[in-house]
Amino acid sequence: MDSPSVSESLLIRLRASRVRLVLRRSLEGLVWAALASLSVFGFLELGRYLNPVLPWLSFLSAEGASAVALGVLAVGLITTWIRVRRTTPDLLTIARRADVRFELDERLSTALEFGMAGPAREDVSPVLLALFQDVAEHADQVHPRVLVPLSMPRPTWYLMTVGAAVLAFELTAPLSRSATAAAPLSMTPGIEAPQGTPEAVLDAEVLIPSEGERTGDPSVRDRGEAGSAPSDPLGATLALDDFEATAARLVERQPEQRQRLPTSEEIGEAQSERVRRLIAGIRESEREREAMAEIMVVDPDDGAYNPPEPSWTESLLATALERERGRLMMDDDVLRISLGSSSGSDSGGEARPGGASPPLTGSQVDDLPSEVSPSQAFDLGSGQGSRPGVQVEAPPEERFTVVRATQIPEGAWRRFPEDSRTSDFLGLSYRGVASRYFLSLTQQPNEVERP
Amino acid sequence: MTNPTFEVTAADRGQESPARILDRELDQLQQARTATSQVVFGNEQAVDHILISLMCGGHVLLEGAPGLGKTLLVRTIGAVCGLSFSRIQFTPDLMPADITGTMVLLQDETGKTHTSFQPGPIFAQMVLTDEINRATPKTQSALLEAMQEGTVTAAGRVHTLPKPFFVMATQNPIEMEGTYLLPEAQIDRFFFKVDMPYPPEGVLDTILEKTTGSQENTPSRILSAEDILHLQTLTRAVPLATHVRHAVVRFVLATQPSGRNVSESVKRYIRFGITPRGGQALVLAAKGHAMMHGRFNVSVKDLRGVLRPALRHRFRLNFEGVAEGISSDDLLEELFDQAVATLAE
Repeated sequence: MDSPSVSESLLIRLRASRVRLVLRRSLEGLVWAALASLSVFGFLELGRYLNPVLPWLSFLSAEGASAVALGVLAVGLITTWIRVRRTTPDLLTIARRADVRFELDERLSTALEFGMAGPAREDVSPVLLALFQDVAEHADQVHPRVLVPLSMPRPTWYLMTVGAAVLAFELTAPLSRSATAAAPLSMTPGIEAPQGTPEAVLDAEVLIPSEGERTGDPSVRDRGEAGSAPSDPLGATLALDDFEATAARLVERQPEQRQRLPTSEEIGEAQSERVRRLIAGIRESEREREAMAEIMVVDPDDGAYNPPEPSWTESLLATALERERGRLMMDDDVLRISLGSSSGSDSGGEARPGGASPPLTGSQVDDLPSEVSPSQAFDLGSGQGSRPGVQVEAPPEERFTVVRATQIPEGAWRRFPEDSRTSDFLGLSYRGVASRYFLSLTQQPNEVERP
Repeated sequence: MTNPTFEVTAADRGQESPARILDRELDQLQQARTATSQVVFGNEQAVDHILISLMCGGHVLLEGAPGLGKTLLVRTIGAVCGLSFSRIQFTPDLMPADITGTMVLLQDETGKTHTSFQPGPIFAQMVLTDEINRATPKTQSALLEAMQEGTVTAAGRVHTLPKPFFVMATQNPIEMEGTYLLPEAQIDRFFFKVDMPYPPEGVLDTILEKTTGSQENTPSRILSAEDILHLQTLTRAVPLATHVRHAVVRFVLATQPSGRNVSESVKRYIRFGITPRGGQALVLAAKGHAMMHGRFNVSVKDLRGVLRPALRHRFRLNFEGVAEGISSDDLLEELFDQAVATLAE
C-alpha cells in the first residue's frame, strides 16, 4: 500500500462530484423557474396590453402580474428544491457513473459497495484487498469536473430570449399601462382626476376648449376654460396637450401609420366643416344630436347612422358594432359643439321632433340636397316602430358609424372584436365604462377628408 | 453512509500488497498461457477459455472439425498445469463401466476371493473424452455424476474423483453419422462450449513451420494441481457489484421466451432461454476472465468476454429462428447489450 489516504481521496472526489451534480440540478431548476416566471409575466403583460383579445386578463394590474410571476418563481424554486433532494444520487451511483465515464470497468462501484458493507479487516479476501489497492491506484482518474461538468443550462438561452422579449415589450409599450393607471390625469398640475371613470383619459371634453378656440365660439371656449363647469360631467378638464402627447406616442409606436393617421385637429376641422355644410337646412332648435348624426352620415361620401338602442343587450351591441364596421365614432359632445358652432342658416327644412328622433324616411332622404344624397337609403325601422335609424349604404371603404357612446355599456366594448380599428384609440378609453370617449378613428387612409 | 472500510492500515505498509501477491500468482497463469501457445498455435482465445474454465472448476466441450488441434490443446494444457491426464476415445460400443471403472474379482494370497473396484480412466484430474457424441447416451450419461458431483458410484460405493477434476470433451459437428447428440442435461453440465475455428493464413503458416520439423515442442509444466485449486478459490472471491449482478439477472430473464416483458424476437425465435445454472456459469466465468486479465472485480467487459462460450450451448433457437438464419450468438449479444445499457443509472 503506497498511501493510506488514496481511498479517502477517491471519496473526496466522489463527494465533490455529487456536490457539483446538486449544483447543476439546482441551477437548471432555477433557470427553469425563472423562465416560467418570466414567461407568465410576459404573457400577463401582453394580455393586459391586448385585453380586447384577452378581456379576462384586464382585471390584473401591473403589480398583480408581478405578484403572479413571483408566485410562479416561488413554486418553481420549491419544486427544484424537492427535486434536487429526491434525485440526488448516493456515492455508489456516482461511482457507477464514474466507472462508465472513465472506463474503470466497475472498479469504483464494486470497491465502494464492498467497502461500505463493512467486512472485518481479517475477513477481507486478498482479492478484495487487491481490488481496493487497484482502485486507490485508479482514483486519480476520477475528475469531478469531467464527471459532472458545470455549464450553462440549456434553458438559459430560452430565458435570455424571453427576458429580452419581455424587456423590449416593457420598454416599447408603456402606453397600455399609462392609459389604465390614470397617472397622466393626476400628474397634470391643476387637474383633478375624473370621478368615476379615471380611465377616460381621452375624454371628449378635452376637445371642447380647443374646438371653441378653433371655431371662435365663445360659449364652447368658456366651457373648456371653466373646467369644472356644471355641464362638465366629469368635473375635470384635460389639457389637449395630454391627448396630443398620447396620440403622438401612439403614432410613434406604429410609425407605418404615421402618414395615414389624421390628427385630432384635422378630424375636428373635417367634421365641423361637414356639419356646417350639412345642417344648413335644419332649424337651430332642431339641431339635435340624432338629427345631426343622421345628416352627417347621409353624406354622399360617408356611410350609415346606426344609433344603438339602450335596450339592446351587450352582445347585440357588440354584433352591431362589428357588423356596421364603423370607422368613425364620436362623442355626443363633439356633435353638440359642432351644432352649436355651426352658423349655417336655416333653410326652412322640415322640423324634426326632439327627443328620440325618428329616422329619416325614404322621402326625407330624397328631399335632401343633391350634395348630401346617399347612394342608397332605406328605413330600418320606422315602419315597424322597432329600430329607429337610417342606414345608408355607401362604398364600404367610406362607411361611418356614429354612435352615442353613452349608450354603450362596457361589456359591449369588451366584446367588440379586436382589429386594427379599435386597438389604438378605443383602447385608450374602453377600460372603464365607455360613457365618454373621444373621436376614434380608424387606421384606414382617407377616412376623414379635408373639406 | 458509513465510510468505506478499505482504508489501508499502517501494518500493511511494510508488507507486500495483496495486489502484488495476487499479481504474482496470476503471473503464473499468464506463463501457463504462454507455454500453451508455444505448442498450440493461433488458438489464444480457446486457450484463455480453457484456462478460465480451469480457474472456475468447469468442464469444457470443444467443438470443431477434425484436425484443428483439439486433442493437442487439451493435452498441452494438462501438461502445463501438471495434472494427471487420461484420454477416453468414445465409440458406440463404449460402456459406462469402461469409463467409470468396475468391480473385479480378486484372489488374495490365501486363496480367498474378494471384489475390488478397478478405477476407470475417469479417475484423472484432466480427462479428455474424445468425440463424446460417438458414444451412446447411456455411456454419455455415465459422465453426468462425475462432472456434476466429482464422484463415481460403483457397486453401491461412492468413489471420489481427484481434485481438480476436469472433463474436456470434443465433438465433431460435421460427421454426424453414427453419433448421438448430447442430451440437453449433459450439455448443460459443460461450463464452456468452445468453438475451434479454422486457423487464418498466418497461423496456418506457423503451424506448418513449427510442427513439421524435427524439433518437437514439449510443453513445460508451469502450474500444479494446488495452484489450480488456489486459483479456483481466488476466482470465487472476486467481488461482483450488485448493479452488475442485477444486469445479469435482467439479461438472463430477457432470454426466456416465457418471461414477461421480453422482446418480440425472443418470443419468436428462442426455444428455451438461459437457466439459473447458465447465469451462474456466466458470473463465475466473468470472475475468471477478470482474474485472467489482472482485475479484481467483475465488469461488463468480463461478462461480455465470456458470454458466448458460457451461454451458447444453454440457449437454443426454435425452428423458426434456425430457418430464418438467426445467429444465437448475435441474439445473445443484443440482449446483453440491452440489459447493461442502463448500468450507470
